[in-house]
Amino acid sequence: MSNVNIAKKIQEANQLVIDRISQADPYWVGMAAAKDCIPDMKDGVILHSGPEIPWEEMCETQKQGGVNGVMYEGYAKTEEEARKMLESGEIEFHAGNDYHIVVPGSGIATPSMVVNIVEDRNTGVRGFCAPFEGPNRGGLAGWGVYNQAIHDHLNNMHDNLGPAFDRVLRDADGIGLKRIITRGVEMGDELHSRQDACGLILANDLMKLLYDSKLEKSIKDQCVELLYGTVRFFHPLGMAAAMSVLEGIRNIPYSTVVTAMMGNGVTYGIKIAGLGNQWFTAPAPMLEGSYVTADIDLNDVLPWIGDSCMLESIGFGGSAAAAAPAVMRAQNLTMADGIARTQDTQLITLGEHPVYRIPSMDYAGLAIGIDFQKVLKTGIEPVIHGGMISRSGKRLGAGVAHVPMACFEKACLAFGDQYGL
Amino acid sequence: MKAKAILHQPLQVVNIGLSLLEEALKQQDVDTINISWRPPRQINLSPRILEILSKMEPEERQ
Repeated sequence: MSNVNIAKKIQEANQLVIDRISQADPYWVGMAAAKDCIPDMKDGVILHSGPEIPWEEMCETQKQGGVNGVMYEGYAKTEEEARKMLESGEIEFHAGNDYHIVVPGSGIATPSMVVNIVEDRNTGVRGFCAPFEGPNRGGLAGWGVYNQAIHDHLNNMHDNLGPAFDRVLRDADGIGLKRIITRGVEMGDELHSRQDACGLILANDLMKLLYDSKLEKSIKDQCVELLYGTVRFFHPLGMAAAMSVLEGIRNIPYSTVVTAMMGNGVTYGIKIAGLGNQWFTAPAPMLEGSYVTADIDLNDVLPWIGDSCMLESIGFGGSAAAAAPAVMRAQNLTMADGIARTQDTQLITLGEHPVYRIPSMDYAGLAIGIDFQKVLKTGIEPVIHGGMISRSGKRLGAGVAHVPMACFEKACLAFGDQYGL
Repeated sequence: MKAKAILHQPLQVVNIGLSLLEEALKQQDVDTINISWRPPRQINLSPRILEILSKMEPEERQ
């Protein structure tokens, strides 16, 4: 094929990707146990964050998360037994991204765990992410940690609160997230390190729906308590929305756009629309940022772990730093630094979102469609915002990292092989 | 002569890159337009990657 033809095919494929991202209309449509709503999820399968990785190469934090997931599901009586089941493959332990679910931080997704369901009404494609665990904060789904309180909370979500939210959402035909995100970005959210505005707008809608619902008062009370006690309730919805959009561009032949970016504490991986479900990995980068306490052993800090930079993959988080002065301040940076960060993203992306717009940049649209060609030609590695996590699963602070250039180099080589270049 | 004359009339400066210079000029009430620019980063790509990237571009742009 001539260069003109291949270039034309790439351009057409990338335009389709930009159109799908621009026209995406994510709705929070329900909540259900993972095995009841996620395609291919079943008993005996546990999901982890980041790219697929063999058990023996996995970091201990993620291994322990898997063990905790097995214990929660009741597949084993002891942690030792659980570890053996994972090690032998009796319990399958896979990357959540391959199941259309975002698994943030060092979190774990299990078959019985209730997850948020977000559907892109433009394509019908769904993305999933477990809700944060109220008073237990990250809990099993976000940090892979487990105790009796987390066990009880997850069971209550499964038996009572998940079905209650699901009923409210179905009665309302879902809650549109595009309107909420549009306003949230205008109000200082970049949706990764900060989603305060989106959370408040959502809570306003949800309170009315709960109030009007026919749920028992005791269940309504618990739903309100959960919302009140979960400061970042919106975060998993933003991540599930990103997943629903990115899953819709997972297999677009010839497209050079990134469809996934994430780490597992050992490796960091990306996927490319024109290369389907292949991972292109490199050693996971360390985060730089502000710690929440002074007594932190730097050897205890994990390299990047978590799928939350699916948000950056479609223009939020570090890509939208200019939208969130409070996030920049928390990183000891300035508004100008945030604008520079977003301007860098503009140099490696293919389009501008027509609806999500940043006031501090004269309402420029979010930079969408990270193109591996542009990353390689400019040398600009996508910037990602996120939480710093210890090897024992504690949240240490928030910071920033860059997606390794080696991921894009490997993707380019695979693209060349696949398309005979 | 023309160069010297510039110094005897109000300056209008286009600053490229360094914001420190832009700020210093503005503090001296010099009209300044700033163009955001940074030197390109060092990229060491393998010959094979450069070949692939080149083949992905339309021929007329090479």
